[in-house]
Amino acid sequence: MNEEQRLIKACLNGDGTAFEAIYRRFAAKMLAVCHRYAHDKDQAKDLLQEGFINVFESLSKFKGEGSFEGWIRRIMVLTALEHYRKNTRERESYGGTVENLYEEFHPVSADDIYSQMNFKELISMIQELSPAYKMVFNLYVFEGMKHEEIAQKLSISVGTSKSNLADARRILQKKIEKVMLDPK
Amino acid sequence: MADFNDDELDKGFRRVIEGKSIEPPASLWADIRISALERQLIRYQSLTLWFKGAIGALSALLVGTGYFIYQTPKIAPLLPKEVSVVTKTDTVFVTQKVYVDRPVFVYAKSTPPTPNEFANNLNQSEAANDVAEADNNLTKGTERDSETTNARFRPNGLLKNSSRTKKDTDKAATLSDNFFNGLAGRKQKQNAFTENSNGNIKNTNFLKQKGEGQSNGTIEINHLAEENALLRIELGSVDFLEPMPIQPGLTFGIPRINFHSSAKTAASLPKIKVPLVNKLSVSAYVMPKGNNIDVRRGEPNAFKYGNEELGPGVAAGLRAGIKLTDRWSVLAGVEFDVTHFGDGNHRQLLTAELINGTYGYLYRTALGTVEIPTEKLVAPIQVGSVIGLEIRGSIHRFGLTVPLSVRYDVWSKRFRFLQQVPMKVQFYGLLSGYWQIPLLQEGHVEIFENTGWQLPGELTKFQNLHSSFGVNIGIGTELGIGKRFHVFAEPTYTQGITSVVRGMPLRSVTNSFGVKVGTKWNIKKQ
Repeated sequence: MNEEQRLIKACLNGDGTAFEAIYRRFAAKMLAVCHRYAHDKDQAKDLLQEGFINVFESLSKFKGEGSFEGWIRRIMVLTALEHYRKNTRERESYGGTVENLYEEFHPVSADDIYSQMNFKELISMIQELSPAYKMVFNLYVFEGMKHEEIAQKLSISVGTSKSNLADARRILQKKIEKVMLDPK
Repeated sequence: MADFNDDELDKGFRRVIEGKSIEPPASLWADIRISALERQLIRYQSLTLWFKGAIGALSALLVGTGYFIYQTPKIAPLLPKEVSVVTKTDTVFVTQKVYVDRPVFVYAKSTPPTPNEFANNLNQSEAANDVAEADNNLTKGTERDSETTNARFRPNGLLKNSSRTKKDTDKAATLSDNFFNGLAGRKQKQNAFTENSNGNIKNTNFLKQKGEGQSNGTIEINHLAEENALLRIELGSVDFLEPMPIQPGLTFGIPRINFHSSAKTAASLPKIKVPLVNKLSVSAYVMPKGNNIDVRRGEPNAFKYGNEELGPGVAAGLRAGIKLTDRWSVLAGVEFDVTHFGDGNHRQLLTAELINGTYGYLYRTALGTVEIPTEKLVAPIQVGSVIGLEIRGSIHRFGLTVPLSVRYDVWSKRFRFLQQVPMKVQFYGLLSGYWQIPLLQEGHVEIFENTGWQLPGELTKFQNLHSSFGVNIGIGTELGIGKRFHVFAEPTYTQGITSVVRGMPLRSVTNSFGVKVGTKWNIKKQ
């Protein structure tokens, strides 16, 4: 029995310290995940809090198939999705600037991004996306979901999902280009 | 437009972001714990609420089932389907009139004798007979009749048989017999009587009889026969006019009875009206009770309010009752009750907050909020100001309750105490709804300022109090002493349905258990 299994068993027996141990072990990584889905730091904390409560309440459902970290991460993503579905008003009142997405781009490579951009900058770029673009981009790029699955989860059409992803990429490309060309 | 490589962008993002961590703030774990506890508590309360609801529904079902079983008459063992047994009991009351239609009797006139025969008869008879002679004649005639037919009756003094020859008599008898034989074929069975009055015949052959009957199958006919037709016959012809004889062996019979009852069921019977005052009673009682409060917090803000507990209290009430039936009554009245509450944590810190545009201190309890009086405070109240609050004793709640109950008498027995005093023991059940109005809520506090200043204060202006509804269920026993006076005891459980507070992020529902002890006075002797 590894450490994670021992902690899960202790949690199921009502051991309070085991809950805290799980939190300490995964909170930082999960907060990074939550930051991608949130529009600011406070919302990310709220998502993490809600997500961990869901994790603790669902511990008995963890069958040990796959990694525990992956399971917690899925719950965090599902929590963010639930929050996205509930906050219709937030989505509709999004006041992001409409940019010209069809200007010419200077293609950037993954290496360029890796070498010239830091984590905080990229997270900020994602957070600035509209909720719909952000959700599709995150689910496609980081969670590895297909458009059909994204469309089902967000209750949109596959075409909308593809279109949102393309738009999100163009916006991010433009932002990266801008940062690269004008590092200040 | 130059296209860009999607995969490169995605890869770049993944390489930079994935696997990275952001250290959460230290307070986040404490927030998670509190949030989890609150959620557990809310869930527990919901569960408890459902559980109580289920228990209540089950109890109601059991009580209802028990009641119907109690009410249902005992059923005889089932018979095989082939055997059809129908039992029907009809109750008909003595006062019902029974109309009997009886056959109509028809007078018939026998064929008169020829003038020669009549003259012959007259010649052989004396022209006038006195009453004594007539009596003799009747005797003789009766003897004569008995020789020929027993079913013949002759009026007194109409015939002077003594002077009749046997032949004449037989002839006349034969004529009469022929006639009555014809009548006999019509199956008319009726007694008839004649009366002789000054030589006339009063005949009552045409009869209509009225009578009164009883439901048990026997019919009594009151002989209220009316003589609808009087037939006066000339003396000269009476010899040939004879009423229908009483035939020996024929009993008095009624061919057909048409029974008409205007009241076929007991429902339409005239009701005995009992004056209203005879059904009225008034009661007075007191009820020591234990109270409890259920606070349902549906959102995190609700946890800013206290976790008070209701202490024991007492209620006193007056009520009037009216009997609807032998077993059912309705009761209504007013009840004044006093309870108190506290949270066990007598000292607490209050932070200044904006209340209606000015800064003040708000004491939040599960049974209402109250603004702390600040007139005597020395330190200025501003953002971040803090005071200490100590509750002296408890906060008292005064309320007025208006209950409306139905009472069902389950069992009762009358007896005489020491063979003299009439007494009555009763057991009953009560089901009530009530409306409770908050009258006043007050308490005394000590206020501590951070300057070291301490002053007493009174909390009286509680807000968010609201009238509430609830139900109570109880059983009772009542001992009647004499014809009017009763004492009773009623264990009663009371459950609020609506919250006693409004405009707060929580619902506070009270419940209690107590025993009402009181006296009842019937307005009229019973």
